[in-house]
Formats: sequence, C-alpha cells, structure tokens
Amino acid sequence: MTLGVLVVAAFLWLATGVYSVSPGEESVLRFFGKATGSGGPGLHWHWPAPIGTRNVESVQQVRTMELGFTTRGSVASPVSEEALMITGDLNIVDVQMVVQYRISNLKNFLFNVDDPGEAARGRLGGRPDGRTLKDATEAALRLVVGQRSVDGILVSEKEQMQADTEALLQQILDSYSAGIQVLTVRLLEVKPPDDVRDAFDDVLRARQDQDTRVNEAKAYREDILPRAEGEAAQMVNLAEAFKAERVAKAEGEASRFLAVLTEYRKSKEVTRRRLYLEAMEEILPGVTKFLVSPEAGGSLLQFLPIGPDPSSPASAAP
Amino acid sequence: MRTLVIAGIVILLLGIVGPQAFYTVDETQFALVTRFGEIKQVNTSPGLRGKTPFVDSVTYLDRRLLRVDMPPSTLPDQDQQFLTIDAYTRYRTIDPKKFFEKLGSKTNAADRVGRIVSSLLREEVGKINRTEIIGGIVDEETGVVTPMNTRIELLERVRAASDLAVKSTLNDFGIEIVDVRMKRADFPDAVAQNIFTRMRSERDKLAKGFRSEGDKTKLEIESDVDRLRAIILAEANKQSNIIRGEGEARAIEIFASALEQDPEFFAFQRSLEAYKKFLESDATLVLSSESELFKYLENPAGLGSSPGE
Repeated sequence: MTLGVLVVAAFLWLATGVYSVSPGEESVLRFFGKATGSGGPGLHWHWPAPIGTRNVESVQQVRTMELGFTTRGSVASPVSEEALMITGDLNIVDVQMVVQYRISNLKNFLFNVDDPGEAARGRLGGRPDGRTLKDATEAALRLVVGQRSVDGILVSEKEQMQADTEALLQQILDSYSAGIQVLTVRLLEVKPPDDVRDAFDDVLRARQDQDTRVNEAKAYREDILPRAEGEAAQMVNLAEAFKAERVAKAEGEASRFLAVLTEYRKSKEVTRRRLYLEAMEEILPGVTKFLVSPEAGGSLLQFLPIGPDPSSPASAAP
Repeated sequence: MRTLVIAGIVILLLGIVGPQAFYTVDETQFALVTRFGEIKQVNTSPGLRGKTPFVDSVTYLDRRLLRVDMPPSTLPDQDQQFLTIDAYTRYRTIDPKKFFEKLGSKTNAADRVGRIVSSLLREEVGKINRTEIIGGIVDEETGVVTPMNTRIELLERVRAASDLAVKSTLNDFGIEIVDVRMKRADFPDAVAQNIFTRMRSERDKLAKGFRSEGDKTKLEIESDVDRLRAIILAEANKQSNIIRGEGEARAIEIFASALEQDPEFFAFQRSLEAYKKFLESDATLVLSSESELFKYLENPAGLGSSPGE
C-alpha cells in the first residue's frame, strides 16, 4: 500500500519530464546544471526538476524590440529619453525604431549574457534579448545618427542608416556571443523634435514656395512669349498684306491706265474731249457755279450766278 | 506499518542531508565552497558536486557577461563644452576566487567597476572635442558631416585602460572588461532649450534662403521674358516696315513704268479724277464763259468761238 503510493508518486514525478518540441523550436537540456545537449522537434523525455532543467524556445519566431516608443495594447506612446538624439551637426532628432531579431543560438542566448534590465521593466522575463539588445541598439543607432547631418537623417539617408545600424548592432551582439541574429532594423519615424517642428515644416513650405515662384515665372513666360510671337507674326502678316495690296492695286491701276491709254491713242482728240466733258458732267451738277464772261470785264465782282442762289433768288436777273 | 515508518525516516534524512551533501553548478555559474570563510574549493565546471554537510557553504558567482550601467554624467570636453554621457560596461569573471575575495558580490563589483570606468571615461572625454565624441566633423560652410570613428576609438581606449586597471596588482579583481559603450551622448538638459533656439534659427535661415532664391529665379525668368518680348516685337516691327517699304516701292515702280508711256495723258486723266473728288457739292466754282465747256452755249454752230464776239 505505502510502497504503491511511493511508486505512483515517483512515476508521476518522472512523467513531468515528458515534453514536446514544436517545429521551429529548440531545446537545451541541463542535467544537474550541466548542459547535456539540445534537441530538435518531437516528443522527448528529460529528467524533471530538480535533477534536470530544460529550456524550449523558438529559434524561428521573429521577435520585436521597440526603441523610442512603447506599445501597450494597441496604444503607442513615445519614450522621449530614448527617441531624442544628437546629430553630427549638433541638432536633435526624434527617432522611433523597431528591431526584429531571432534567437540564433539558444545555448549562447541562455548561458552567455545576463540581463537584469528587461526583467525590471517586466518584459520578456529577464531574458538576454531585453536590456542587452536595447543597450547595443541605442549605442549603435546613436553613433550612426551622430555621424550624419540632420538634413541627411531627415531626408535622404534612411536606408543607409538602417543598414549601418543593423551592421553595427550585429557586430556588438556577436562580440558578446549573445546568440541573437538581427533580422531587420526599421526606422519608423525620423522627425524633428516637437519643440522645433514648425521651423522644420516652414523649411518644407519655403521649398514649396520657391517652386511656386519658379512655376509662376514659367507660367508668365508661357503666357507672354507665344503672345508676343503671335503679335509679331500679325505685324509681319499685316505688312505682307499691305505690300500685296499696294502692289496689286498699283498693277491694277497701271494696267487700267495702259488699257485706257491704248484706246486713247487711237483717237486722241475725241477721247480727251469726251473724258473731259463726262467728268464735268459728273462734277458740275453738285456745285454752285458762277459763269464769268470776259466781255463783261472779266471781274469776279460781275459774276452771273447760274443755278439757284439760296441767299437771294431775286438777284438772278442780269 | 514499520516499513512505512522506515521509509518516512529515510525520505526525511535524504531531504535534510541531501541538499547539504550535494550541490549543483549551473552552466551560468561558478561555485565557491567555503568553510568558515575559508575557500576550500572552486568549481568552474558545471555538474553535481558533493561537500561536507552543515560545515561547508556554497557561494555562486555569475560567469556570464555582466552589465554595469553607469549613471549618466555630464562631462566637459576639451573645449569645456558639456555633454551628458550615458555609458555601460560589460565585464566577465575570469578568476572566481579573486572576484570573491576582492569584490564579493555583483552589486559591489558594479559599483567598483563603474567608478573605474567612469573616471577613465571622464579623462578621455576631456582630451577631444564633442563633435568627435558625437561622431562626425561638421563643415561650417556646407554643413556636410564627415563621419568619424573617434567615438569607437575613445571607447576602446577606455576599455583597454579599464581592463588594465581592474587587472592591476592594486585591484586584481579577477575580471576582464569586455566592452565599454556609450548609449547616449546628449546635450545637458539645461542647454536643450538653447539648442532648440539655435536649430530654429538655422531653419529660419534656410527657409528665408529658399524663398528669396525663388523670388530671384522668378525675377530672372520674368525679366528675361520681357526682354525677349521686346526683342520679338521690335524685330517684327522692323520686318513689317521693310515689307511695307518694299510694297510701296514696288507700287511706285509699277505706276511709274505705266505712266511713263504718256505722262501728259496721265496728268490729264488723273486731274479729272482729282476734280471729281475735291469738287464736292458744297464747293463754289467760278467758270469762264469762254472755256471749252461753254463753247456751244452762246454759239451753237461752234464757229467764231473767239472771245469778244
């Protein structure tokens, strides 16, 4: 009976040594504190505590560390003492970054590096991926930022900064044999600090204003030059028209004259007379006429009005 | 019943004596067995070990790479410009016996190591200027930052000097300094506002530059357009005058070559045309009765049309 109880107790204790390793996980086993090996996926048995210790961790899971902000639930709040950093030209920028990594060597990860910080922050149960990684990331990122100008950081060098930070971070972690592989370093937000944001925005606006001015000037050019060219073409065309008109008119009149002249030459005297009389016929009906006879003295004072005199009809008598 | 009692006694004895007679050394640990404060045994390899129960006690030391986070301190550089530097150190125990004798605990070690590294850091920071610590040299003209490795070099000097210091005969802590890093090198909080003011003024300068550059380009383009416009119009004006002149010249030439055939007839004909035009209805005309026109007025036969008849 008693023996039975002891046997059952011993059996139950031994049964707690059964564990499974999922694909993508690795196990590290210790027997009285000494590492005895590591195993791949499957169902296994190892001595239970206090004789044996086992750690099973995913070595493929992508883990994330945030820098410059923390996410609690779905709310991200900035951590300014992490986010604000100094640039090579002594400006301050606000950087938020995410590091993605995985455990690449579980043994090194467990045995090589301590990590009190992250445990104190209540995250990740004091594993070395906490404070160690955070320290190294801050050291790497701040050096990379310190080697650049604020304009480069804010505008153009994001890709290069990510690559440099990643390389430097990996180098530091490798020097610790931390068993961590950095997968990506992503700069989520790189911006000027809130206190000077408006001044930086104003620079962007100023660039826009500059472009606007240039565009206005180009619009002015597009407006004025074609018009001027049109006006010029118009002037030239009007001149050409004038020329053609003048020439055509001259040619017309000249040939008219020549035609008349040809006929005139055939019977000069008669034609001349006829032309004269016809012209007179055309002119005289409309004008006030005074006929002066030379026998009567030829003086203009003794004129004889012909046709109606609007001022004194009685004076019509000779 | 007796067997149960015996079994109970055995388990009790094992439970009391076992932990006293045996201890384990983990992969992450060193173990020191001391008897009345005297070190009897140093275990640097993990596994199950035995000791004399109730007399020997075991002290565990961490063999992993340990971290010392030094408090941020504001240090003057070569030019007495201050930077707030937050650094950390990584050390590892290489001689657990010495560590136990000289430092005793991790907390004490962090304190001692931290002080040594901090003072060496202060010394090195005072030797170079702050831009070299931050990471680059700024060209005052262009604002281009040339990256420098001076920070890494400085930290390596601090590490090497710290390593020498902890291994010196005076200290001889039984540890090695593996790494010294700066997490942060920032302006002290007191000057942060001044920095923001300076940043703001730099940005204002840039913004003004962009705007006036835009105005400049605009004026350049617009005045150039005005110039081109004036040239185009003047050129066209010149061109049109030339063309008009050509037209007039041609017209004169054409007329002249026709009229030269009989200038007298032209004068006659053109005069008649002119009379038609300028003798409008409100004109008054004084005519001689002897003119050709009235030749038949008083002398229908047309004979003896001489005056005085």
